[in-house]
Order: sequence, then structure tokens, then C-alpha cells
Amino acid sequence: MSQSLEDGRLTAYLLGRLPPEEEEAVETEYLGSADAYDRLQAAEDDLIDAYVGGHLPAEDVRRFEEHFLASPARRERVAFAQALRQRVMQKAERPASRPASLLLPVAAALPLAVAGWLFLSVRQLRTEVTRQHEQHAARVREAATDRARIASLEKELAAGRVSAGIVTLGLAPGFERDEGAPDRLTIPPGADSVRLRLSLSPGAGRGPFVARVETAEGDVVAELRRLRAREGNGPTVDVLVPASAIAAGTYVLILRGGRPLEVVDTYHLRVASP
Amino acid sequence: MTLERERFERLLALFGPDRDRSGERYEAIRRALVKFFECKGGRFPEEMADETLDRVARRLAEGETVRAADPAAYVHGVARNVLRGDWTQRQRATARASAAPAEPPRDEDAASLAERRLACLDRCLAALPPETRQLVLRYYLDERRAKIDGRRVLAESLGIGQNALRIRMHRIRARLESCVRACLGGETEGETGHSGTGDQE
Repeated sequence: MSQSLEDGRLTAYLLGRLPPEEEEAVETEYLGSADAYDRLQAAEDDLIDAYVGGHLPAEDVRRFEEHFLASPARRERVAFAQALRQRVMQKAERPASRPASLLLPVAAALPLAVAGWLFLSVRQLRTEVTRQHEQHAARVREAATDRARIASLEKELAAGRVSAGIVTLGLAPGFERDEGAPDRLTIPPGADSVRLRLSLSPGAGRGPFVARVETAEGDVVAELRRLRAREGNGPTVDVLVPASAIAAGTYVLILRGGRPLEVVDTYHLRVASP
Repeated sequence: MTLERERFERLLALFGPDRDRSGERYEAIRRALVKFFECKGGRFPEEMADETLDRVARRLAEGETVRAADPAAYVHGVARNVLRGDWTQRQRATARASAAPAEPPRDEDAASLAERRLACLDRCLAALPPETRQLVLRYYLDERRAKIDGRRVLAESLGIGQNALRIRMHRIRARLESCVRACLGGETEGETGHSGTGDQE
């Protein structure tokens, strides 16, 4: 069985949508073989990550929440995956040079392709070899870029352990804070996380909600799931975002709820440099 | 030899003649049983896995012969009986219980727990050997297509297949999860056993 077919079968098992006889076969496999058990565990990691990343189809999300999340141990694993994703996402800004590095082999291969067309019989093989070399070189460059980025992330991580401050910012739906206004939002240096306390519109319900923080350009900064309203002076929802993910600039926070998910409220946020 | 010990020895013998290897096999089957009960919605997967192995040991002690080519198939059958017992008990318990829903966790508690979990994750990541930490960051970077490409390049750079990389990452992740659980449970960082250890497989 191919890897993708095997993964699909294991995912179906984890979501409880395999027919009984197939289910039994999967169970006998992982009870009888450590390798099969490892593959199931890896498939479970991938399934959880797909759920947390919002990449599961709607039907699978429903099954995941009804079937998979029935186990407390699995709910804990999902919470862990959310934390891991949050930590990695705040470091996920690609260096600007990366798209260029991806285009490089294509651009370089173009004249070679023309030459190959002119001298097809002789040059075709050479062109292919050259292209492979260039792709390899691009991968090496990419790996070097990743290594440099990871080194800087590690420094951030080390710094993150020193400070654990959380700054709380209240937001009302549709309310846009202007830079220079008395209540403009400034994240103090050393703050570890930003807690965005969202006031809910009447009739928004109690959740669960999905909150997505996007830059003005539409890049996703953070996405948090399974949020619930809390009662205080009116219903609010807390969204915890790593401070390092929120640079100075304008953001939109979209709160969705219900099934199927619909936009409940939208919040605008402008962050000034400290 | 006590009765319990004798039973356990018979159980180990079911998994093979070499005692060390059958001990490992026992541990592997127990882990897989926990997963089985978790997947089937069992209320107490750990306890149910132990109950399954206890029943198998008792039957062997009573002289039952396992005819299945693979003892895992026999254990699977016993596990399904344990599961059926759990379902029956649960139905009875549900019938007795009042209709009042369980109190959901307070949002404040959930937010505070999420903050503590993040802090614990930072500690556990920092306690990993640098090369393992780099591997985690590289593996979980990116989304969708870029992630697939990134993992392919990563596997190539390590000289292993993509599936082997997945399994390796699962093991590292399992250690991280275990470290975070221990940290949330109030144990100290040193008890997680991460400092100074390599990427064990």
C-alpha cells in the first residue's frame, strides 16, 4: 500500500469512519507490530496538526470534534499541538530572499532550455543535468537560510524564557484604534504574550469560537480555536497571542462561530512601536 | 514462585521464548492496547489495557491454549471483551446519573492553563539538545505545500526517508509532550530526562 493510501486509511480509522472489518484489520496490525503502531502515532500527529492548522475538510472537523476529541488524553494532545504551532508560527516569517531563491533555478534554466531546443539531440541530457545541479544548489542555499533563521529563533526562544509578562488589551467589535489617540496600543518590551479581550456583540453566543489574527495584508499571524465566552461586564473572549508575533502595524481579528463557521465579529487593532 | 509471578511468566512466554524480547513485546502490546482503548472511547485506557493483560494471564494460567498464529490477535479479542464490559457499565452509569451536564472548565482557568502550557513548552524546547530543537523548528515550519517540500529537503539532508523522519519526529514530539505534561503537573525540568540526551530511537 502506498504511503498516502496508508495515511488515508489510518486517518479514517482515527476519525472512526472505517468499516468494522477494516477497523479490525488496522487494530490487529498495530497490536501486532511496533512499526504499525509508530505509523498510527505519526498519522495521529498529522491529523491533530491538520485540525489545529485549520486544514481539515468540514466533515472531518465534525468527526474530529465528536469522535476524536472524546478522549481527555487526545484533548491534551490537541492543546499541546496548539501551543507548539503558536510557538513555531511566531517564528514563521519567511525571509524575503526565499521566493527569489525559488525562482533562481527556473530563471537560470530558461536559456539552457532554449539551447536544448536548438541542439536537442546533443544538449538535452546536459540541460537536465544542469537543472538538477541548480536545484540542488538552491536547496543547499535554502537549507543555509533555514539554519540562519533557526539560529535567530533560538536566540528569541532563550530571550522568551526570561520574560513571562502578559499585557491585556480590550477590544470592541468594529472599533479601530488610531495611532496617537490616548488609548493607542503599545506592547511594552519584555512582554511575552498579548491577551486580546474581545467584547462580543449581543447574540454572538458563548462559542466555541475560532479567532484569526491577520495583518492588513492578509497574512495570518495566529489562529486559535475552541475559545469560549466568559461573563464579566458583558460577554468577552480572551485570545492569547505571542507578543513577538505582533509587530507595529495594523491587524484585523476575525471571530467566527457556529456550525458551519460564520463570522461573528470583526475587530481592528493598531499596534504602535514601544 | 508466587502465583502472580507465575502468571506473568506465562504471559511473557506467549510473546516469545527470549525473555528480554518478550518483555519488550509486552510493553509494546500494552502501549498499543492503551491506544486501542483510547480510539474506541474507553473511559480509562490505561486501566483497561492492564485489565486485558490480566485476563490473558489468568486464562493462560487456567490452561487455555492460544491457537492464533499471532498472539496479538488473541489479545485483541480479549480487549474487545473488556471494551464491551466498559460500554455496559457506562450505559448503566448513564441511566443512573442525573441529566445535569458536567460543569465546563472556567474560561479563566483555561486561559491560565494555556499560558502555563506555553511557558512549559518553552522550558521543554530549551531542554532539548540543540540539534533536536533545530529539527523540531525546521519540521514544523511552514504550511501545506511549503511544509511538504521542507520536510522532503529535511529528510534528504538527514539521509533518511520521509516516513522515517515522520516517525523520528513523532518520538521527539512524544518526549516533548511528556515533558510538558510533567511540567504542568509541577514536576521539575530535571525530571523530564531531556537535558543532555540525544534523539533516541
